[in-house]
Amino acid sequence: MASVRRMLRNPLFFVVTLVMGWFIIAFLVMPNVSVLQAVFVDRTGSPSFRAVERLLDSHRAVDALRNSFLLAAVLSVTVNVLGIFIVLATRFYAIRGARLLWLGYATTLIYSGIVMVSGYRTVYGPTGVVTRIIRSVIPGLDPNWFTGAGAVIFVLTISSTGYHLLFLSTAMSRIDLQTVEAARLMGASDWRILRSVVMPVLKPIVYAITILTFLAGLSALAAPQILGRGDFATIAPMILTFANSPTSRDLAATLAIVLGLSTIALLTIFNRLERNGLYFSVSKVSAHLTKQPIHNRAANVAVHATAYLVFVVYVLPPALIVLYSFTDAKAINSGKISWGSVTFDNYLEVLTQERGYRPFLISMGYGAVTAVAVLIAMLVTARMIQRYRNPLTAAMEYLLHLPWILPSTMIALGMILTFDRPQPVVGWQVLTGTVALLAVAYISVKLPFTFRLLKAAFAGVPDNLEDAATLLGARPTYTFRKVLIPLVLPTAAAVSALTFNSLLDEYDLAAFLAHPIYQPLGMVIKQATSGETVTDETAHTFVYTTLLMLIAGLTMWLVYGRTGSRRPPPTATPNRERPRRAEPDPMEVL
Amino acid sequence: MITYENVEVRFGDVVALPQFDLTVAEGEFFTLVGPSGCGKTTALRVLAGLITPSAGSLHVAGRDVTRMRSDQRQFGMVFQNYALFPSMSVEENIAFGLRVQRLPKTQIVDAVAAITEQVGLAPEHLPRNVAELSGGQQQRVAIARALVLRPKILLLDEPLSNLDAQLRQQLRGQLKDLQRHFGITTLFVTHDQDEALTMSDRIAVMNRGRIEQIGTPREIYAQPATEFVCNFIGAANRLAPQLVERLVASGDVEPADDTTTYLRTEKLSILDGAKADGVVELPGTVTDTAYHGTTSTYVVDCGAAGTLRTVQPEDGRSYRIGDRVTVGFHGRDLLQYAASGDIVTQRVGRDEALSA
Repeated sequence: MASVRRMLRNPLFFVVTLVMGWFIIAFLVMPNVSVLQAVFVDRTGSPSFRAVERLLDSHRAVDALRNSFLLAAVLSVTVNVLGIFIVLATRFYAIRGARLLWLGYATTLIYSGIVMVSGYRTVYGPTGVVTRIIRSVIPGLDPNWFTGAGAVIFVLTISSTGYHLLFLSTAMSRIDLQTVEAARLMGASDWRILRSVVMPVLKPIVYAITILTFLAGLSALAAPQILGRGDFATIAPMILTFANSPTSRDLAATLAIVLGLSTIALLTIFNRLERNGLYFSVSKVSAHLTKQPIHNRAANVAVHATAYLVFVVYVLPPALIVLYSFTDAKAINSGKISWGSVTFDNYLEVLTQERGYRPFLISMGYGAVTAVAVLIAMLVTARMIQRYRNPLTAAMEYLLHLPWILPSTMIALGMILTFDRPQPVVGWQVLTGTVALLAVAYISVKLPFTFRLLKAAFAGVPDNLEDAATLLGARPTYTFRKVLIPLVLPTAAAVSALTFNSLLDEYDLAAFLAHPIYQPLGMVIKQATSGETVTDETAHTFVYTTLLMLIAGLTMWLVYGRTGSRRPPPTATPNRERPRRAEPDPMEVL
Repeated sequence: MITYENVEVRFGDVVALPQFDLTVAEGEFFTLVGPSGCGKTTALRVLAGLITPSAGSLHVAGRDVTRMRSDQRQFGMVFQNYALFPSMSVEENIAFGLRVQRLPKTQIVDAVAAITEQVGLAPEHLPRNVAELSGGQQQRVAIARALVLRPKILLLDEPLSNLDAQLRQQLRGQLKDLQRHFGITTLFVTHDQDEALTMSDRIAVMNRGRIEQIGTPREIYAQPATEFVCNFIGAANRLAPQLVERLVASGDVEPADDTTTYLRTEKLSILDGAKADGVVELPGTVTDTAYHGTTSTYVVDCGAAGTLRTVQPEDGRSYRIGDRVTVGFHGRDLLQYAASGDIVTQRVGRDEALSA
């Protein structure tokens, strides 16, 4: 209790405790209580399992549950197979053109979510170039062949390999070359080295990625909704459907709880794996991994061919979208694109007409408000929690992680259920259907990520810098402003950029909470690409996608891309206590 | 000037500093020396106000500072890793405390320029980022930052431990000169006995949170009050029981039960043939040698009398492994400790102690 009193004596920490306490209760705790009430309390206020019974009686709901778990299980295999292959091809084996291949595979880092699903639908859909090519060979092929479970698995597999590119690549680069050379000197073959030396050390991170992939599959919304159609319903789209009708919101809540419990269970396993640690080298002086040649000629050719085939699959949709962004709907639908049809009209319309730039501005507004609000709140909160260990900060830390362990759909549903009536905690206002609720949801879901990274950044600042400032006469607020903030600023800037970037094409929360008039970009893209044919609106979405890829590419370069060529961050610390790197650490992001 | 009175520091159930009493005089260079975890840094941080004692009181110049905030104590401190602010330039680091005090700009510029010169930094270093400096230069910035505020007390927490041997040697002298120049009371923490002996006016040897002995460097070395101090400061041979029995029989050691007897390595000589009065002689074989430039260390196996280590000045004589030699020492140089660790007999260096 002495620690709590000492903490609250600081006026800044006192205000932050009050504000964050209110936010946590109002927007992190109450919505989840509402979801539980919707499932386990009937209209008379008595405990009830009626919602669970109704759910089990609903064939659609049970099918959705089964499909979601099936999708998650299949993705756990397909994503790992593809992800490990592309990392081996670009980072471990000496493959010609590996840099180009990596750039192609890395398109999923700047092009994902609803934008990517729409992109694949454009290329593989009824009027898509791939469908047209296949139909020229097989005229009887259904133009809507790219729907159902196969299409969902295909797109989600490609979109989910980003984890491998970021984290498995990093892990791979930390493998000690001397262990590979030692195995080779003892007569091990390429395959044996891969199986017995390389893969075992990567196992923990592969497990971690598998769990994240499983979770992504379980709560996927955009891909099953756009590509699954009626044939392949899963939980998240079903929650959205049920949530739209007041009579079936209890079913939506029950499905959300199933999703939430599954997520918590899997994250518990993930945390255990994380605790086991990653061991890349036990040697005091490890050698940097260099590319390994594939000695078997047939295997070498097969790996090269597969790598380039996969490259084409990755690159085709974004490349065509960039191309389509310079043409009109007529040219895209007819499949006849010539120099004459190349135009900047789409860009002019999007950038100069309100109808075109409005969704972009709305999404940028949400992104900016969220990034700034989360950064300001978490800078102080993370420092306070990192510095003072007491029951109050421990409770705050656990509660701040709630949005991290719960799927977006459950958070969105909880907010709808809580704020569809006047609530004293928000001044007796109804927030459901307002512009503010989506911003609140964005802030909620971005809190844990920012908190984790900023707390780690503060932990990397040696304590004695603060002691030194205090001994030089500085008060805590002055020290925080002049000494600590400049040190965590690179991390703060990187986190804010990633937050802003991730919200530009956000769809999962927007689908539940967006205001009908102020529709963000994700919603507009979804609506414009759901039709059978390409319209002028669809062509506008290609411009949005191209611009989003540019912004995301720039963000990724600023946050991750410069690390290879950059010198270590300046430090005035002569020994082991070096401040943390400025950019987010992969395991922190996980 | 500085008085610790029954200061106790607890971290949960762990007592880091039990009942700590110490007085440091004004203008004194006082050193706390001891092994890692002995509580010396804790004692320093209590004085700095970075740790609040669980019990006891602290007085500085007669004023109780036990509960005073550290930013109000007006002490300067140099940390082990210097704690320079990496986001600031050299000038900004040095001027930090002056800016906190909101002094006029010209006064800050003048003060920074003066202290920069005094610590041996060049003016062109001032605009540079501290990360661009060498370890020695960073150390000077840390000292300048601490001294520019003209603190009443300077606290040094192992400030030389991150430097290479040559630079450490050089900075020892400079640090001592600065302390004399400013006449500032200094509390220095180190685990390096050489630093403690060469820089201090007085030393407190600490072990497990307690002070084993306080004295001048000469007293500490020549008259180690406890077995721990004897082992921690300087090098000594622990004599084998058979040798001690022989010494008791010859009257060189007073008979006492359950004691341990030590002999400083430099008090054991390799004899060159001529027998001297009162010297205990032991024949043996050289089993190891180490050359240090001005001295050499020899390990001599004396059979039942045990293995003894001796440090000999480089005077032209040298021995090789396998050489048969005779080593000798005076009974008055022996140090005898009871099982409690306290000294029983201490004949060593009595003359030097008296003359000191």
